[in-house]
Amino acid sequence: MNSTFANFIKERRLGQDLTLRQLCQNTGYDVAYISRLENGLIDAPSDIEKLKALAKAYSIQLGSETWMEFSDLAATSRRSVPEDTYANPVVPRFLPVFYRKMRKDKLTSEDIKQLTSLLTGESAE
Amino acid sequence: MNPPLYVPIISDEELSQIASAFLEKHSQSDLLPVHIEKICDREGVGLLIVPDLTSLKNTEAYIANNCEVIVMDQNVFETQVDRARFGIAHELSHRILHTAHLEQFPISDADSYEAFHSAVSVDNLAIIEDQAYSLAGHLLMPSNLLNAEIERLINEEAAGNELTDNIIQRIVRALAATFMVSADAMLRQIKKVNNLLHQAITDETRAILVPPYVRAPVIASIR
Repeated sequence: MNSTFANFIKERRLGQDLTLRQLCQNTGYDVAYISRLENGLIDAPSDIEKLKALAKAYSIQLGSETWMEFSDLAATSRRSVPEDTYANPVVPRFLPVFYRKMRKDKLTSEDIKQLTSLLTGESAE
Repeated sequence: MNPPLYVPIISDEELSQIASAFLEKHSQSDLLPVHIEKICDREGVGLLIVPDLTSLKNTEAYIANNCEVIVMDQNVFETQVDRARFGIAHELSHRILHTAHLEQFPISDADSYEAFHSAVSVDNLAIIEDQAYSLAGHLLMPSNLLNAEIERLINEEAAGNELTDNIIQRIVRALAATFMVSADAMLRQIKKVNNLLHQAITDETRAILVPPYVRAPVIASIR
């Protein structure tokens, strides 16, 4: 799993066997902008339409699993929480608790592993 | 204060072998033109394209962040593809040859760049730039492929007749187009790998192929 938005989109481009130049020529994107995104120097766009257009440039189908990962990493790169997660009523209650716990007790890597395991249903190995 | 930069001594023959092994590693040994941007991707080297870099930093390209990112002027990258290819190959060559030597200089900004320059003598800087220039030439114009192309074109264009200036100009232009490099870079590589053709190139032909107003080779710095 890619840990950053920059890595994610770069890996996505490499997976399509495209160079930076080819991707920009195919899509009309400014190469300076895309190179800054891929090097993690700027955050993903916050405007949803711009994010969708960017997804299209990287051949990411809206609503797909890849789109979910893409938009989650985009939100993380902007240090924000994905808008759609607020549709779940538990989230606004859960997040403040999570943030307080994180600040007060300094989550260990073991805590994060267990939390991830709980959320994904996968073993915390 | 940093110790002086240790400059490796590498012969041109060794540089040719290094290029050959590197291209083989990236499955580019027999592909023309060499896909240098794809090689960067495979090496994990990022390309960062910056508008007006040349006027901002007085250089068209440099390699930074422990040789992991090549920074290049947007205008060069977009409008002078041959020049951009050579610039990328040049910076990649610094990564191949000099990463270990540059470890003592964590170059990331203008101050650390100044510190690097003050620690390296002009002569040593010239040596490492020459090495990167030569390796870039071998990466983009591997001797085996270049010689094969020269032989093919001579047979095709001259067909046993004398190599006239016109024929040589056509051959060099065709070679430059095939390898996607400038005529100037091609002439320099021909000098290294094919003495027969090199000897046949007159000063007049050279002046026609590389007019005086053509800029000098890519100015690139280690940063």
